[in-house]
Amino acid sequence: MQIIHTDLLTIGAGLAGERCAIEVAGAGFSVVCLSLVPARRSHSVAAQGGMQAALGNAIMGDGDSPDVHFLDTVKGSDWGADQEVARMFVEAAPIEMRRLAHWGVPWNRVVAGTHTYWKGGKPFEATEKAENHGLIHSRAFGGTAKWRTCYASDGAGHAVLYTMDNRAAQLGVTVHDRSEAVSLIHDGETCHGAIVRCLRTGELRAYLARATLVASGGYGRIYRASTNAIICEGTGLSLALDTGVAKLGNMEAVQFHPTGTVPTDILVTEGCRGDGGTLLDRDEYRFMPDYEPDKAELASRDVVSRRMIEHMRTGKGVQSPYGEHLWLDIRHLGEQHIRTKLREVDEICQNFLGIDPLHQLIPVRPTQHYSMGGVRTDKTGAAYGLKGLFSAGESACWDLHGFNRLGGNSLAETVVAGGIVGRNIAEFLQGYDTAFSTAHVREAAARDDARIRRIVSGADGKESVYAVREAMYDILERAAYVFRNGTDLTWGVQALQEVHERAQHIGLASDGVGANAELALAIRMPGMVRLALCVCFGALMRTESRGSHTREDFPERNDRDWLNRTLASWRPGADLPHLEYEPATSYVELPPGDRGYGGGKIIPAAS
Amino acid sequence: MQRSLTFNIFRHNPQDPASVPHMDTYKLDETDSMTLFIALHRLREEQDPSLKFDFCCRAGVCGSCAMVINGRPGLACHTKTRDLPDTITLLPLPVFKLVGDLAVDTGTWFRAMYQRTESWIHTRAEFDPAAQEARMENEVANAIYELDRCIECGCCVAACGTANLRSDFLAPAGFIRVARFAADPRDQRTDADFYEIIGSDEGIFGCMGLLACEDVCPKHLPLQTQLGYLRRKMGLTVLKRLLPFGG
Amino acid sequence: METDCIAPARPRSRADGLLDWVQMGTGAALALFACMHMIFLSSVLFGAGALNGLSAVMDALHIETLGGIGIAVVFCIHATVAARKIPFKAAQAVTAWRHARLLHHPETWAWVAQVLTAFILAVFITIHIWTGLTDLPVQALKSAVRVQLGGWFWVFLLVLPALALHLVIGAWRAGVKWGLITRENRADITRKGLYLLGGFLCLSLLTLLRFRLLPLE
Repeated sequence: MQIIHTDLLTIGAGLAGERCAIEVAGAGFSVVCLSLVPARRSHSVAAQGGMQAALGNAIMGDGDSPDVHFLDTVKGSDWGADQEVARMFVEAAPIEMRRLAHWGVPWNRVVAGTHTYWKGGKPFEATEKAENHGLIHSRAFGGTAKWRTCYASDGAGHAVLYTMDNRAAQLGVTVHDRSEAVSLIHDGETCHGAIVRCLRTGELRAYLARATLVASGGYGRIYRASTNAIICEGTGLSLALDTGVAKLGNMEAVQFHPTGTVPTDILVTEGCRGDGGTLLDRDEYRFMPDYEPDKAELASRDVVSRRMIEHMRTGKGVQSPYGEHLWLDIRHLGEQHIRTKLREVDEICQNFLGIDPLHQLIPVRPTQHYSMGGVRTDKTGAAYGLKGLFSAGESACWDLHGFNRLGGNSLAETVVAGGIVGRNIAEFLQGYDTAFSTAHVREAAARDDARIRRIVSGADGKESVYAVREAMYDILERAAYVFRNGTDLTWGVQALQEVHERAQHIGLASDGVGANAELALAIRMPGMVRLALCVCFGALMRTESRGSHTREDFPERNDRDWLNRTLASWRPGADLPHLEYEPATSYVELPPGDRGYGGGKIIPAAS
Repeated sequence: MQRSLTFNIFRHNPQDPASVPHMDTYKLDETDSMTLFIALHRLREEQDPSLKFDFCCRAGVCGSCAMVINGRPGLACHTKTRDLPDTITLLPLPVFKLVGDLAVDTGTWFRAMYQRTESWIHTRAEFDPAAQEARMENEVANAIYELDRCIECGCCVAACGTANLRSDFLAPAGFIRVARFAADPRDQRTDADFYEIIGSDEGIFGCMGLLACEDVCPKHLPLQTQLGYLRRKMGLTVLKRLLPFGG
Repeated sequence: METDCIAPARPRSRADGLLDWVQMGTGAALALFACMHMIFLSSVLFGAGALNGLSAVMDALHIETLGGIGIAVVFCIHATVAARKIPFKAAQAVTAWRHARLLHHPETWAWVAQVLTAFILAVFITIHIWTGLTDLPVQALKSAVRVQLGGWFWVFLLVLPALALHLVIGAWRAGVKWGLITRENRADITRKGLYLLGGFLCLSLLTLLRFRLLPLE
């Protein structure tokens, strides 16, 4: 077996992973990034909207500051965020945007003079200041007091990821693509790297690293309908969970995007609504102002998603062969706007749905979109429970987003957290020594190898991996979607436990040789079901509604009992995650209050 | 009227010594809004789990799923079956190394391209965290973005006559990358510097002007315009060097 | 052909840039000459006297001899330089052929046509220059004899379309390579190129026919 030594091993080469890698490589350390796909195909590339940073250059962002950004973020999180982390983030974000500009990101810039913008479906005029001409511009996004989202036409994720990977190539960061980590090498106290499976050949390799970073993105693909790339199956999170000592934070906090297309679940950017797109029902009636008179379509994502489901439940949804949906209307934005600024949206409609958004309505429904939960780390990015293990980006619970993240904050988090955690890792590596035990490596590799052989030979059973996955999809769709309740969740946990048992008996129908997708999924599947159990069990125990976690039987946000973070760990041999709780934040700048949107009652904290 | 589609799919597993390249035939009933993404996954999950192909974003932005569809390189995820005849033939992209069946190794090829083109901003300016960002005209930013939209799917490489004939050809994807940096005022490289990269038959002078790249690019990048622009720029650069006081 | 990745390039070369200019320059010169040559010969359509008269004037100025030698040189350069791009190795030729068959792309087929016509022209023009230059001045009767005896009519019937194709495709591709043909005007110029091809073919075949029918007495 090939053994590769490096200072830092990152699992995932999307924005967070590469941003960390750049910082660490820049400090003179060796870095290897693992990626399931070529780095530039990582899911970061799909982010269309942009990154929030309080630059305040645009006239509609005039008077913006990190303080205002902080308030929006903490309110958006429904007070689930770690406020110290949020403070660090908002202060660093503007600098990071400028750094990206220096590295080559073609941010859109302020053009002095009077322009027509859109808000809530109505055009208005605003005059950009002459002294800001040529500085980074920003656009509107849901849930923010100011226009704060830096953007590059309709492909911010693409533009930033390409720039980041260019920078990584310049610094000689090594990317091993088509490589999947299957377990972490650890001794219960320290993480020493990972056992990695080559997705070209199926061979196992060992990577020994002084520091290991999980930056593998979210776990959206445990749901059937998700806007995430199909590789977002939470693999990095399950590796951490399988150590038995690392902890996953707030796994029940899953965000649903209001505008996933039907039937392909492709995200239509929030920029559509930011620029004035409206939501219509079966009668082509604009219903959002009835629920949210002030913000209407621009209320935060969880609120819009919930209002859409609520409205569909009144019988106003559009029936289709693929289920019920609503309409997104951007026809009034005009040809120029749709074909240039919203080009990616235009292309999605034409290429995947066969409709022209200039003349036709876009079918949309709330779809799984973002995972707030992840590997729980402290503010430096160090994972709880294992020395030498770090995490950043969507795979981490750092915890900037609490129970709901604002649009544009996640893409910004990847680079801001990537920079901060990267600097911390470089500091950690400075003068840190560890001894690698070849016995641990051999044991870990032998364990994985044996497991893979049993799956290929069908020694544990002939359960179909696709049938197991379908069963998991069905349960999550009923029990842990936009609306949740105790009855369904109780059923869901039990049903998932049965599926978890079935997942232990998966056997292949194919030969499993080489770049075999059935085997790759079979190796991941038990871990995915464990993540689903963390979501479902965490949601069952959390008897309140907060952010995107909405309990029909407990509609109040309960600051008295639940102003805390769920921590899930998986003890060896267990059939349920072990849950414990910690305070949401130890540093309080903004005491819990009303978000100003979303409605719902609050049970205040006992003072 | 629901059609029954016939798929002829190239099969070969380079990791299996017994595997011989051949074509397999599958049948599938067409459904509304079916794309090759939906069709291929159904084939794998319902008929043949050993079928190998790549998808990632399934939304036309990541470039994973390029393959030769009825003779033309294209993205499988945004190819709707209703636009295709009853019989659909799928082959892996040529030029790139085969991973298995329809999956090819574009990642390695493109990483080598970054190194050849030095695909990053070359500047002597240092980043100053305390300073405001350098100003840029919005039109310039838009022009750079337009050239930065390449998703590295490899369709243009597979369709390029020269790239099929010589493995050292930089290919349209490499040229559009050079054009992207040539258009960026932050990159301080000169025409002479770019000549070092593309001023040869492995570079821009190897382009035969067949325009297959332009015709297959799923992102409709202005490849034709940029190839002509780079050839003129490099052609003039070499002429200038002939002058006594030139470059 | 299968490759792991893009192969490293040899160090850049000033020669490649110059050769590119030379290839296009000689091609343009030859194309121009071919057009004039044809217009000159097509004067036979107005009768043998017209051609002979023109020829006498040009011969008196030694244009035919000097021009002929010059064109022979340019022709050799063009053939040598342009041959760099022709897939001579069997494996390469097979790859190119398979590629063209797979792609269903007219411009790629046009390139294949250009390579094939290049071989026809290389052989024929070499002979043609030799026979022409050793038998100056051009006279209608001499040409008519050539066309009517020894099966040369059939050779010309093959060569003239080959020349027309090679020339028009070459001009079109040079237009693309140097950016004169753009995304916007491509369809328009392609249509005009086809008209040119048709015109060239008509005029040259009419001239050929005229020589064929010219009385040898």
